[in-house]
Amino acid sequence: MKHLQKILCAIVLALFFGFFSFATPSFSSFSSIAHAQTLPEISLSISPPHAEILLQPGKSIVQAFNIKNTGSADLEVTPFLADFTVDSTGTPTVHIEKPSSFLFATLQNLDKTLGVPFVLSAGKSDQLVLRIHIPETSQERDYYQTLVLQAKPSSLTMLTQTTNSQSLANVGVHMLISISKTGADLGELTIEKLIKPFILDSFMPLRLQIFAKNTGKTYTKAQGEVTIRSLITNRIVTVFPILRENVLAGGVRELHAAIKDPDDEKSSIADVFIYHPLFLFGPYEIRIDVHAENQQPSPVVFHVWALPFTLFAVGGMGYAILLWKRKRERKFEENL
Amino acid sequence: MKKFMKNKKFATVFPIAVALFFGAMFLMIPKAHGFMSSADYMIQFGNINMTSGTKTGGPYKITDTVGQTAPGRYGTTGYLVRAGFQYIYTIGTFSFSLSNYRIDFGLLSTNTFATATTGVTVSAKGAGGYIVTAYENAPLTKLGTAATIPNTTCNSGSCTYGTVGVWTDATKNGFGYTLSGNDIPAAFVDTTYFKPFADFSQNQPGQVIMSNAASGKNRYAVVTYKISVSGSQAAGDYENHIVYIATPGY
Repeated sequence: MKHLQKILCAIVLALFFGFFSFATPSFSSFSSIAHAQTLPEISLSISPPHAEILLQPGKSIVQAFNIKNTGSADLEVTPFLADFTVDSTGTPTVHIEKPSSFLFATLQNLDKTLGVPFVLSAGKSDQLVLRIHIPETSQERDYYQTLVLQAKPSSLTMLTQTTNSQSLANVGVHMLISISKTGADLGELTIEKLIKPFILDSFMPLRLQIFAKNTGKTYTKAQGEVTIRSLITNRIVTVFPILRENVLAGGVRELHAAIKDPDDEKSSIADVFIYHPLFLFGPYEIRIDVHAENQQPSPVVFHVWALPFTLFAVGGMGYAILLWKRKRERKFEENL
Repeated sequence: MKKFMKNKKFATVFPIAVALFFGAMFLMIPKAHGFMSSADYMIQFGNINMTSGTKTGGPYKITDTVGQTAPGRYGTTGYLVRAGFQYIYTIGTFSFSLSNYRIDFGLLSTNTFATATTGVTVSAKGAGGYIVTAYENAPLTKLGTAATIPNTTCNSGSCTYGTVGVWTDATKNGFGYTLSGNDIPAAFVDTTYFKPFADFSQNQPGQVIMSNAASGKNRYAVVTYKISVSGSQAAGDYENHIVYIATPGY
């Protein structure tokens, strides 16, 4: 009986102190929670993801962008315009560090201004209504702009007594703005660089990389196709339509083949120019026709040879082994 | 007739009847429709000659309403707007997420690595590919001083913001990052390969950390930051900012 009383007493005490320890945050548990907590993520979405605007001097347009804070933290969002440029492969760089060269855009929202932060609560959507007004006296030219949303948590607190890096998220959409009196596509495409084999193994894929340069005055959409013809059978073995990607005025861009989007039959997606049948053999004629909308096609034609080097190598090795075996057999016979 | 006109009931009913008649006529005339909205109202424009678009959200000063967020293209004299991509039928949404935006290395021990990670997620379905670049505003700098933790040069002493190198030796002090996951540069063969962030204060251009020419949904990569300090590093709190820029294709 005494034992039972002791056991019950011990259980009651254990429960009491157990509850007490849960109810009172000790320093050690508090500090470990502080380090282990998961920070809310910065998450922003924007649509449409791209805009092309062609307008005459003196005209105005309005483009609306839908934005949403899809994360779990309230965000302080600063919208602004920045220039973007491309490198020798067409990779864009957004120059968020310096003011935009495009001075003809304002936000039409009464409660928002470019360059001034506003709070976008977690899970909330909003709309940025961008008005572009081109003065009558403006020169005809292209502006390549990015509407950037710089986001940081609105409750961001600085850490002390620790070494740390803070991340700043910038989400942008590119806008190609063309000021033109006639609206004509003045793009002119030339092949700036072509990476191609001259001769390749019959079992290897035929891979091409095509870089187009726009020497014209306005951005343009690359169009045309790449045709591969076997000169043995004189038949076209494959045709790659070129994806209608924009090439900026004065810029270079690596082009892609267009293939059907498996998720959306009406859309195309980018693919590489690779022809990879089981076996290539002999000379192939490759014809690359890349041109702008208002440009006469002037195709580039060259030849690539495919030979079964792997078979030659395997055959050669087999022959060498055979010779070595025969030699060995002869030696063996001579010794006998 | 005059009697009718003088009749009080007639004087009240007649204007109402006229108003109802013209109201009904107005309703019967087929017309373009649309909507706009804020938290309290919504008005939408359909294909009205001079204007088209869907504007929702906060208050606006609408002086002219020409633009669109709907798929396709339209144009009238003097302007043309295309939203989305010509080769993509559906206009998509571009989204970008950063988890663990505050990288806390805590208290550092000398010649010992400390690491932390950030998850980067990009959805660019219907956005013609994407690119994410990153750079630091400056090396990790001690608050209120000019003392810095240098950027890593890796084991060999030769990795830069443009070239990766193996970094496994904690006595080679510095701060750098590696990448794993989708659409990362091929140079990051495995997570022993590191490089420093491009330093904006030295005019170094931001470097690509994720990219894809094709569309993608929920593409995910992990940025692992690594730091080690020498025994001669001045004690104190060091900070910098890592700037991420995510954009869809153009």
